[in-house]
Amino acid sequence: MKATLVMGTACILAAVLPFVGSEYVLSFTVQLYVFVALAYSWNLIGGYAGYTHFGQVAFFGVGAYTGALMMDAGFHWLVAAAAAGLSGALLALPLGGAMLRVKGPFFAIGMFGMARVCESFALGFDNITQGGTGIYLLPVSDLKPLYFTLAAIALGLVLLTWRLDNSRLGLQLLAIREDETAADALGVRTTRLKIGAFVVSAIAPGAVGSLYATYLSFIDPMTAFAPMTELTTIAMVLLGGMGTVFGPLIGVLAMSVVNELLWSRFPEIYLAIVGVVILFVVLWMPRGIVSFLAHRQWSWVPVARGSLRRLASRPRIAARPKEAH
Amino acid sequence: MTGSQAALLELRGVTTGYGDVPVVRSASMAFEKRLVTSVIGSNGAGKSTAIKAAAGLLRVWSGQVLVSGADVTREAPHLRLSRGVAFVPQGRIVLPEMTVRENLELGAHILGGDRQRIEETIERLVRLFPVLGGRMRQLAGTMSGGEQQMLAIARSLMTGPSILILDEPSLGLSPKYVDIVFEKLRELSGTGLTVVMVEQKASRALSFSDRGYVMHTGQVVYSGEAEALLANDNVRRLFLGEVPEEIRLMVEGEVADA
Repeated sequence: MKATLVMGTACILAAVLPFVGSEYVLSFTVQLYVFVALAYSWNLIGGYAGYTHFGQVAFFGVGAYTGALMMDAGFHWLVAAAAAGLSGALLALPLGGAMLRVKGPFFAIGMFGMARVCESFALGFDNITQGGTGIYLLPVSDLKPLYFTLAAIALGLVLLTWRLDNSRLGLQLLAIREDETAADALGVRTTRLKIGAFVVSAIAPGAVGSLYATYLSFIDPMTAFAPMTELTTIAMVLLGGMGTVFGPLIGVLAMSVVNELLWSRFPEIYLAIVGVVILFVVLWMPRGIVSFLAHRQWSWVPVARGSLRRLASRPRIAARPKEAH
Repeated sequence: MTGSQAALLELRGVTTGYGDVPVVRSASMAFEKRLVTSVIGSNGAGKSTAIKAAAGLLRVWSGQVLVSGADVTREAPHLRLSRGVAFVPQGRIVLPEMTVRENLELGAHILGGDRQRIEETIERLVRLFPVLGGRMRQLAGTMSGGEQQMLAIARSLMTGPSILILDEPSLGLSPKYVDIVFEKLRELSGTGLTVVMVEQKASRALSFSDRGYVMHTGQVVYSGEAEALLANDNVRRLFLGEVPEEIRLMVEGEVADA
């Protein structure tokens, strides 16, 4: 109940913000939504299906270029964003079919390589992409429509994850994460499901990439395929809690605020401080803020997953099986 | 070949392995209705590999897998499951962060969204596995190893299979619980289930089984009634880690009848 209240209040705040907030607050929130969308998409394949990887920025970048080229050709930025989302999915389909045969570090690093391949394409095909010069777009006069589009995508992904977490489809993804052979044995159609999850996880990054290009009214390979975008997203998910409904949201909020505070005060060493903060979080709350809070029965923090709530009622139980009696 | 007419599950000259290394070489086994059959042998004999091929978790290089006479060699695991072949993998395979009920529900996902049927199946299974009753809301990871194994078995029964294949169900369990699990498998075969288990604890498993297959370096070297295998001197020596000369010769030749 309290959790619903917190979420409701947050939604209302988000809705009135563009009309009362300053330009600075507005652009801070726009970036926040970009990361919410990226974090939830990554959480789907990395957190739920257990296929963590460092290549999500490939979809972001390809989406950014698809969108930028379409806007350059005169299409509305919303149409461009939709096409960019589709481009992410179309790229993910063959990529998933090929890459999801391998797991663990091989998949994670392989995807990182794919992002670098995409980046060098953007640099190399300069007759289309303008190479390192980048593509300049007409700036949007009003940020509000962009703001609400991104807010809708972010909210949609939170709701989708909440729905997934309470569904049998979510159970199947978790089964793949825990033990793919066991999932196979239970009749889970693992290949189809993980490729599906991978494709879905590429749609929002594609669309958001295009919207980000609209927001910046500029895109170049360094911005579109920035490894920093990738690492920040993953750090946010880890910080909040991988494979949970509200973990990514809390991770994005916490890290964005910390980033912003540190960046303005200690511009030279802020990244080092962020690194130290992440290190301590991983050491002390390896399962993220959400699990940490759930154990401490802070019921106003929405955790959603039924079993996590039950977990909260029995603090500090071991997840590992005990020896047979 | 003994009784291949009544066999519910059959491997015919199956060769399979990992990468390009053959682990099982033209192995033939028939598992008959309502019987408990143990597949035994030392480490690396190819027992687990053979039954993984039977469950569809490993591609068969040559030979056939038949379920009730139908060739399922190229069928995916979920299709074999709908033919009634259930598999309980080795090791810790319950989802520790989920409740007992959620684990059971996961076992039934292939049935689709029929809640009524799932509830009925869970009720029926709780009668079979009283240890799970009243613990539906407990997290699976907080149960003992033996209880988790019971849950894993119960979960694989959610789809109402006719054949249950288990990969080392006794692994990591205390001797007392090993007997409890084996006893439960006997009880299940009494209800009409065909049970196939791969076991390291050979003599213990055979004493709870009707029939057995003995594998050595990827081949079936003995098959027959469990009692006869237990009494066979060569098989006994194999359990103790020796490789009798007869068996060494056999892996090149034919299957002996114990």
